[in-house]
Amino acid sequence: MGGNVPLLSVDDLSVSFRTERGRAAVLDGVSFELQAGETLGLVGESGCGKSVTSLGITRLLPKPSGQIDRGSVRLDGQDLMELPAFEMQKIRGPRIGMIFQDAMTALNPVQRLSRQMDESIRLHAPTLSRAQATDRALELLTDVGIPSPELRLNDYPHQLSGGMRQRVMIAMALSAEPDLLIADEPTTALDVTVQAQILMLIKRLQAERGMAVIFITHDLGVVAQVCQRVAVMYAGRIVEQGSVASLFSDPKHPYTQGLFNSIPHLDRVPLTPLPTIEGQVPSPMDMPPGCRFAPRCQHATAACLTRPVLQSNPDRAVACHQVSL
Amino acid sequence: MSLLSVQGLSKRFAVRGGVLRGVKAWVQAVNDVSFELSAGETLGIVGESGCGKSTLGRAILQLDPPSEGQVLFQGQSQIGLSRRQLMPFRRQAQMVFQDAYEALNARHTVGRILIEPYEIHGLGSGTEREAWARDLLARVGLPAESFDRYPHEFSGGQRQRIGIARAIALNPQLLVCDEPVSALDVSVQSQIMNLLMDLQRERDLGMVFIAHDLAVVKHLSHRIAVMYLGRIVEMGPAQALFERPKHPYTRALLDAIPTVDVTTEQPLKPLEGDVPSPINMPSGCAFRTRCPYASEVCASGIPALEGSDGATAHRVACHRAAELDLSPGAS
Repeated sequence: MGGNVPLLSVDDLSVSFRTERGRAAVLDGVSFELQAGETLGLVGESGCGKSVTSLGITRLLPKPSGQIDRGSVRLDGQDLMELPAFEMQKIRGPRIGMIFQDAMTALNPVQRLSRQMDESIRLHAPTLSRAQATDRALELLTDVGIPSPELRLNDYPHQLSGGMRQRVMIAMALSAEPDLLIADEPTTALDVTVQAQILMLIKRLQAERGMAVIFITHDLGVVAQVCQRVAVMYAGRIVEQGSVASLFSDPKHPYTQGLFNSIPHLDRVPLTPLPTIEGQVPSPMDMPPGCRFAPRCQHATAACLTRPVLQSNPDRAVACHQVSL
Repeated sequence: MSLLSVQGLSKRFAVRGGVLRGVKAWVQAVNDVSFELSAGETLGIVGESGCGKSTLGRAILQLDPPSEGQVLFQGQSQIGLSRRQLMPFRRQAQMVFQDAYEALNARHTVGRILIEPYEIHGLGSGTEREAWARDLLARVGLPAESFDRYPHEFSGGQRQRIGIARAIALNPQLLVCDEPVSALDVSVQSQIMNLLMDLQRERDLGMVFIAHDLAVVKHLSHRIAVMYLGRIVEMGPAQALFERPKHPYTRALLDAIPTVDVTTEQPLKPLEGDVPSPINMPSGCAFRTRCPYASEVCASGIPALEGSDGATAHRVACHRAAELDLSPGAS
């Protein structure tokens, strides 16, 4: 999609994990592109592979159980899968920043923020003096909306609220001025009023810095707020992708439609039965052949026993035998 | 007579510290909460983490005895009773937890888990108990072979079905559900919500439904109470509360929900700041430190929950409620 060379191009990414019962194919042929400055939402339910996608891109899969079976990930045309490990370290941080759901475990609990900020700032800008690094830390903390940052720098992570910790983690990710920020459920553990603060913050920083963002979430409402494009994942594959404006107003894949239907909207008639998607997500050890949604799909036919090809037009891509674009 | 009447309920916890583990402070987790619940009715309780909604649920069921206040079930006080005296109430009032896995004994089969309530209350013979347990499985939509399986063999949604089956085993009149769907994926969440609504209709259950997700609560509830730092700040019929919120906090919660509606460009309007520590509460109205409408009067005293009585009453605890227009659209 789009004529420019994409910032990030993921092609046929496939990941499996070794388990006691054999290899589980968790990601199967995931492909998408991301332009500079663009925000892509990666949505799906637990176990669909959205977090594994980000771990695959950054080559942070747990070792030795996780393994990339095939596919390529290109950042500005450079294949990250080919890079030696020490080169990959220079990509994480300066080129690809990451923030996670649980800021408490991502921050060092026994170091003051000043030391952690200093470390992440000077790692990427070794020429800065300690005083300059402190100035930069104050600037970053102010930018992410932390009140009286000079006092907060002396705090340990546990002294901050959940929302404040998430702001600190964002400030640290931004310290290296990455071209791409991967945000993995950054607001899921937060209360709704604090979530709104963090979403607006990420949106503002993205616009100011022209950063590309991959926003991983299970919440379609969050995608609608912060993303331009969205990819819907189910059982390790992308089943549909497109612009948020078009996909949200006219979802084509039966799974995407089912997801939208089962959300309890505020404007639904209360106390009436909600539409559901019957059945459950298949286990990665026991994936159905062909379309992986077929066993739960009302429209499934014999054709669905073969893998659906991804049909695409400039606005949308859908992997379903029963839909024609 | 209402099924459940909660009057002036409070729950305090001591914060201990120092070498001698002396009491350093008190946390007022639930503060002067009152409401009535009828059979067949759902009262939704919403609020953010730390607002006291789960503590309230546990205090109602006497799982954590309240520090003050009264809980009447079918007109009978349940306060200060012994374990034995509480048995009839326990049979009539059950709880559904957020984390069904934690709440189920991992070493027992599902069958044994479902038979246990009958054993505890000495109901039926061995064969009757097993037949009842099998009926429960069918009622909550689990396959018959689940009877001999263990909780870890089930998905999150199925475990919640087991939790619900156990809760309805003794045919209770009251169900307190504490975040029963918040750990579930959306496609499964709607299955469990439908099950709870069906059971309520079928058995005329009174439900207290505690959750942080306003859309979920709105869908299931006849009336809703909004809690902030231990107190109910607004309570009313679900529809009225969403269409004409009267408390600035309720309005802020509504404004913070990211909706999937992409046809209207409506940016989120976040509240400033964080919830204050319950150990060190602001004087007067506890919400005033984050309230966009706060003025001097708000520090003057704790606002009472005021408004008309009765089933359709819409009540609010805000010093400035009469002057504010908080309906969506107004700003």
